[in-house]
Amino acid sequence: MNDTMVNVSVEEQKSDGLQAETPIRNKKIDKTRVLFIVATVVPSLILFILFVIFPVFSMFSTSLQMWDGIGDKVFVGFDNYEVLFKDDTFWKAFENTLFLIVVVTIFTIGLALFFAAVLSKGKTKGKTFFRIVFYIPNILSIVVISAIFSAIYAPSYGLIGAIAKLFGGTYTGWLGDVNAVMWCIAVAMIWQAVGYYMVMYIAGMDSVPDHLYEAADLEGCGKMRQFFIITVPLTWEVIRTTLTFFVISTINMSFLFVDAMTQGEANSHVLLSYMYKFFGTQYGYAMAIGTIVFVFGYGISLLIQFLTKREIVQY
Amino acid sequence: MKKKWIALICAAVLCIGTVMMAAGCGKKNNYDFVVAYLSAGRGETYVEKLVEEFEKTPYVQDYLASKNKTKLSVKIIKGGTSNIGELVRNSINTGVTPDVLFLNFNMSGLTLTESFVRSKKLVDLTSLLKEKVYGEEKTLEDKLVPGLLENYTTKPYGTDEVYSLPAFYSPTGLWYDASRFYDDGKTGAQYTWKFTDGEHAGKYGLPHTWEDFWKLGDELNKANNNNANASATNPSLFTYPTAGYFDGFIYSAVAGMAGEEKFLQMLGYADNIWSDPGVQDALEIVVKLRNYLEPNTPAQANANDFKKNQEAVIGKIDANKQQTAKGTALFMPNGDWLPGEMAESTPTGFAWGFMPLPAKDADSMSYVNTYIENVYMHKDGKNQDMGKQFLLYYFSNAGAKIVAQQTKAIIPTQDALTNAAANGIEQTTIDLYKVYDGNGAVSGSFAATNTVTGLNWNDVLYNDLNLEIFTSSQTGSKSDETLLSEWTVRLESASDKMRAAIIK
Repeated sequence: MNDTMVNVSVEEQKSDGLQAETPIRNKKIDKTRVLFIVATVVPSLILFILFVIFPVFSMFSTSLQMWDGIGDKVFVGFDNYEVLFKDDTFWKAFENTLFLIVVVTIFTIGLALFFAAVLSKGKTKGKTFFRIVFYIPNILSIVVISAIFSAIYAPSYGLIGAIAKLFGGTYTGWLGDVNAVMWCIAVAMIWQAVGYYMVMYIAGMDSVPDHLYEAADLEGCGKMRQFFIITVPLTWEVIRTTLTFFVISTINMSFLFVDAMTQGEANSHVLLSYMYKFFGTQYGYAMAIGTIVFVFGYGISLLIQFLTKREIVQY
Repeated sequence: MKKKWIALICAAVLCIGTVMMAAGCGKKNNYDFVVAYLSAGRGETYVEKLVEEFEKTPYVQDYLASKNKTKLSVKIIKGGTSNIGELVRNSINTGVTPDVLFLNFNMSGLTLTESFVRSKKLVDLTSLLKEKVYGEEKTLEDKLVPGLLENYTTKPYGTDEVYSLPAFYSPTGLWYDASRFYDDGKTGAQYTWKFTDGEHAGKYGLPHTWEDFWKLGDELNKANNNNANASATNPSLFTYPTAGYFDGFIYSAVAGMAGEEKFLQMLGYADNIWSDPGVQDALEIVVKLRNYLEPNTPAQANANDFKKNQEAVIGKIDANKQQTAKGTALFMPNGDWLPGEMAESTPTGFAWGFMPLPAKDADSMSYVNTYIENVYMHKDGKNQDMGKQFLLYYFSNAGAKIVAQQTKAIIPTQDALTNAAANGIEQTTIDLYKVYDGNGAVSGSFAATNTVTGLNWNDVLYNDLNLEIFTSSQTGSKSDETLLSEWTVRLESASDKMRAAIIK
């Protein structure tokens, strides 16, 4: 792949060189080229600075201030962080975020890989039908999914309550139970995400040549072993990319699920929902939480990239 | 070459877009009058209609003549609790500051009014009280219902200056299904009010004192096998929509158990007030309620499902709005907006009952908490004189009539209550205000403070109760005494921080 790219660029340079008749003309071309590059790059650069670099910088600086959104901003140094690190709800929210990252990632990636393996290489009947069925939750909006799961968990009219009643049990709502609430949110998140990642893995697995599996079959290698020695190594780059992508999206998605299902009741705040709670009242404090999320998100992506680095296996 | 042109055009579009956005930021206030209001609860039209009629007054006509105009240029900013704060903030940040704002104190997630108080942006309205309201001989002070100016919303700095006026007032207390109770004929201090004249054939007696209340609760618990089964045929004693509804409950309970003096000290974050024996009695009532709670309540006590808790008092209905089952709880704390809010799921012929909190004992007074919605003016508003004239119009009989017609609510002037029936207010609403007869009234709003980083006072006082007191998976095997002492510690610690931040 890299070789081809290098070849193309060398050819481009050659053809440019052929068009240039004299060194003077070469300079003239360079000038217009530079001007053109500047004219096209500068606006995007300004927008990038305005809408990406500036907000991030502004977040860091606001986190060092006390500000309620209207009045004067007061510089307070690291006071916001000092209070934050002693704030029990913040640590609970951090714990909940980590819980969701670990649990939702393991189950989603695990289930997505399993279903992808079954539906891409297995001889399952109605493959296309199942692919569509698994993908459907991804089309639904998070609010709809949250409403569906809230209805399932609801104590007065929910599915679980009805089943409990059928067997003579009592059920007063898992969303109000501090020990169950995060699992309830995790289940909804896993249900929502499996289909999407499954489709990605199917795409990766479809590109693995069949002859490798045929050879393995001939040598008496079982399906499970084939999965671990052929499928996983050959789709490792896809898994690796989706893993980073997924962890970051879990941090974001958890906010939507918590906001739509519990609003942080029963100790279910995650970092972003806790940050949002201080919007409009204590921007400085909210931005201190935002900064932690920013650093944490980047840190964890780098960590995943580092830990999952393998020699790329090709065929 | 073609590609180059496309790239250059794209770049130009980006540049122009950026310049236009930058230009949009420097907008000026070209309006004659700017009003902001919270349209949730009181409807989407009343301020528009008020402005329309206000425009016909001689004051505005003279103003228009002096400006050579035929019509006022008015900007009205309105929104629900979720977005009004952002809308007003954005408007101020673009240079259009509202002259008049109908916004409340103490709203969860919206502390805009508190922000204005902190930055001393409210207009002093003390002198306005001495002015005559529009078209009448009475001054604003004489028009207003007595007692409503003596609180931290109208006098946020605890001084004699009035910075905000009560735009609406409504009693909050305990609501119930009137048909489940029998009429004990008691009146006076133990006044009990019913929306419609129910059948009075219920099996329960209304609790006039806390002793009665707990006795009724114990009987229900006994019948319900210690409250273990959510599908029990007997109701539980109590439910609450969300923990936020405990605000008025706590205020009335403190006034009733500790007295009005301690109540006022509490609002000023007095030192050690939460450990005061009377206040402790009030807090104990809240903690004790966990033993009499409708079991599904904590799981549904959030912004999505709070109506399920309200339905626990109403019961179940079929497609024809006929009641198919009685409610699973007897009482809940709520305000006058409840019947309207729950109209869709209330059975035909349902009789709401409403009472103040039970009294300390048979010789003591019951207390009603008054929920006040405020109106005030912003110092940076461009047309303050017009803002003041608008307020004088609002509190006039003409204003009261418009508000009554548009919102079905009574504004806090004595004439508005007298003229309520003539203004088209339903008798049930007028009756609601009779709860003040013979009962004590309090209004709870704490002293204005500067921001205390990481601390939300409302969370400590009531929002966290759902988790810390009523969620059994959180409280585990802790006793009522332990929970009460833990809550008191949290209150004292937060109260100390708030006291240090009071704006002087």
